[in-house]
Parts: sequence; C-alpha cells; structure tokens
Amino acid sequence: MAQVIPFERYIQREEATEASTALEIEKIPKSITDEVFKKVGSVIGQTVISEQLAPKRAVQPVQPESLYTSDHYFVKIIEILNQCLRQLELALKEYEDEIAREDTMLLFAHYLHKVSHLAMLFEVNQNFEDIITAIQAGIKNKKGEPYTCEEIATLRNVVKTLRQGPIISDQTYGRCLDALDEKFKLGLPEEFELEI
Amino acid sequence: MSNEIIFLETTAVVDYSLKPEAKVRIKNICEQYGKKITAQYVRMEIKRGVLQYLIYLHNLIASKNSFADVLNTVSKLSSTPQKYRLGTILKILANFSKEIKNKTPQDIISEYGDIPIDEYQRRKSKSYLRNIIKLLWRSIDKIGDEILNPMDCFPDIREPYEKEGFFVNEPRDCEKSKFECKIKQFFREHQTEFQKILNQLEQVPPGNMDEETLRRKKSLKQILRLLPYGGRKFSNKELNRKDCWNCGDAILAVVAPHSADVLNNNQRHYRLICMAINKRSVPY
Repeated sequence: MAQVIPFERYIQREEATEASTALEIEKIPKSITDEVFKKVGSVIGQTVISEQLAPKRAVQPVQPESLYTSDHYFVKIIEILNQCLRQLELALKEYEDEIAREDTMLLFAHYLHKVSHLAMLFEVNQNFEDIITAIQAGIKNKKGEPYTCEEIATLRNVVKTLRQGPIISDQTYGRCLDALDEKFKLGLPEEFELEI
Repeated sequence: MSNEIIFLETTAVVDYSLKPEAKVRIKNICEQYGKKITAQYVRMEIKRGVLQYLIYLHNLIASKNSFADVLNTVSKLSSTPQKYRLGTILKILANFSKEIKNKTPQDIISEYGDIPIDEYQRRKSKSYLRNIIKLLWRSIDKIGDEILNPMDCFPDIREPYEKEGFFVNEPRDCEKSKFECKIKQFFREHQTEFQKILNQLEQVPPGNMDEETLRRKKSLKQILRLLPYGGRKFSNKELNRKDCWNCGDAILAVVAPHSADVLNNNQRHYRLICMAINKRSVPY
C-alpha cells in the first residue's frame, strides 16, 4: 500500500527542489493548477486551496543575470555587454556629431575587448567567442574609417543577441555572422595570396 | 544598373569573401551589372582548393596545444608555394591576435587573470578561421543571383561540417560524388569554343607560357581528341577528371553566358581565353 505523506512535508520537499528546476517562464493556468491540486489533495487526504499554492509554483520571467550568483563571470559578461549596448545606442543617438559618435565607438571597442577576454578565459561558448572575434575583425578591417549608421545598428542588433545569454546556438551564430558580413569586411586583415 | 550580366569566376568569389579590399572593388563593379552569376564548378574548385587549406589550418590549430606548435608543423611541410601561403595566413592571424590582446583592458586581467599570448593566438586564430571558413562557403550562394551547372558538376557537394571541434571536408573531390557528371557532353556541345581557346593558346610562344597554361593546353588537347569517340569516357568517375580540373579557367569562361563579362583577377589567363570566345574579361 502506498505511503501517505503529510501535506506540509510534501510541500516542503517540493519547495526544496524548486530552485534547481525553476526555469519556466509562463504562469501555469489556474484551471490546470486546480486540477493538479485536486488530485494531489485526494492522494494525501485533504483539500488544497489553489490560491494559496499557486504563487509558490508559478515562476515569473527572469533576467539572465539573476540566474547566476553575483560573482559569477557570466554576470560580468552580461554587465559588460550592457555597457557595450549603451555605447551603441548612444552612438546612434548622437550620430550626427561625428567626434562624439566615434569616441563612443572607441569605448564600445574597449568594452568588447573585456568581453572577448572573459569569453576566452572561461571558455564560455565557441559560437559566442567567434562572434566577438568577427566583430573585432570587422572593426580592424575598417582601418579607422568612421562608422556608418547601418554598421552601428548592426552591431547593436548583434550585441542585443549576445546579451540574451552567452550560450549561442549554431543558428544564432550563423545569423549574427551573416548580419556582420553584410555590413563589415570580415576577411583577413592584410593582403595575402592563396592560389586555387 | 544595366541589364548586363557579370560572371564571377573562382578567385573573384574567394577574394570577395576573404580579402576586404577586393570585396569593395568587386562590389563596386557588380553594382554596374543587372545580374551576377557564378557556377557550381566554382564551388567545386573552392572546396578542393582554398577551403581545404583553411580547414587544414583550423584543424591543425584545434589539434595543437600551442600556437608555436602550429607554426612548427607548417614549417615542416614540403617546400611548396602553398606552405609559404599558409605560413603567411598564420602570420596575419598571429598579428591580429596579438594586437587584440594588447588592447585588453588591464582591470579585467587583474580581476580575472591573464591568458598567455601563445594560447591567446591559438584560440583567436582558430576563431577567425572558423568564421572565414563559414563565410567563404556561404558567399557562393550570397554573391550569385544564379548558380549555373550545365555539366551536372558535383550536385551532392556539401558544406564542410563540424565534428568534435574539427571541420570535416568530405567529400572533398567530385570523384567521391554519387553522381557522374556530364562534362564530356558539355565539351561536345561547346567544342567550337574550346577549340578556339586551344588555338589561341597555341599561338603563345612556349617561353611565355606559365605552368598552369601549359597544363591547360595539354589537357584541352587530350579532351578534344577523345570527344569523337563514344567509347572513350571522360567524367569525374574516370582518371582523366584531372584534365577537367586543369582546364578550370577555360571551362568557367565557356560556362559564362554569351552576353556575360567574366570578372577575374588573372588577366594573364582570362584575357586570352575570353578573347578567343568573344567575351570580355573584366579585372578588379
């Protein structure tokens, strides 16, 4: 015969495991929770009021950095990517002022070097690392030419994608690479010969 | 923009993807044309040529623990021009990596730690190579509005794929294709044009001919000789497929539509070939 667990103990056990599995974004509909609690209640021999339990179970959307502890390098990477993003948005906002815009883009490159270092140091994700390399190659191949509005907008879109989390899928990597290739020159930075 | 057509041969496609300066020049020229065309044969040449070299470098870096080891291994290859070209690419990548590393802000190094320069160069170069390998393959589809394949060249050609951190470039040659190409039929249909090219090459004094032209001339002769004989085979499944590869520039010039100009970076070869068949060779 199945062992009957007191309801309080059952809830405590569920709460203890919740932290490791709480990655759901959507709130579970009330009709479903009611049905589940009705069944749970019947097993443990008492009625459960869904309104009391639902807030403990339904998980709200979270920011990527809140998934990690405060000293984790992931948080640092996302923090620096936020700084990169801010620079790009500022550069677009002050686009007509060439000196201010180019200065802002220098800061963007400065922050990007930090991300590059951390991504390599902690071997975050190959696709992530390669997109950073592609941006650095694109900047290098500009040879000091001022940035165009389209270039900055492309960088902003790519950084926004990276900002969603450093684990980048092959598909996302391909999309970012194509977007960068469209506006930048990503080939080798110097002349070379490679006969076919 | 005109209604004219520009045909991009293999080097033009490679340079568009890998050489930033050439990309600008090619883009500017292409903008003057209404349609950009290339060929499946270009894809085949890239896969067995430049892409294979880049993949070799990438995989070499992936298999070594240090960048110094990579340089050492390349230095031990046979003394061919390819060895020096690969060495040049490594040097370019090493310089790029070093420059990027030098720009890393000190605060982040102090807080999280440093990466030895050798390891930095190894990782950054691998990353760079992976990007350009991917871009090179994609560029073929991106650059052309149409990809011609009148001889059914390597229809099952595949993008190199990644496995456990390495690129696998199989099948590398058309020999390993599941399909037999129709190159003999293509030569038969365009026999007059190929004969004109051969006649043109035969007018060049032997002393003025480079090795590639000598090979092309010899292979063109061989191919044109076997065309009348139904029993004599000529395809990717035969040993004489190398004659096809030796005639790459001539084949591409013939594949280009009659109204098309041929964009290339080798006027020495293409000017003569295009002149023979009344096409315009456009340098970039």
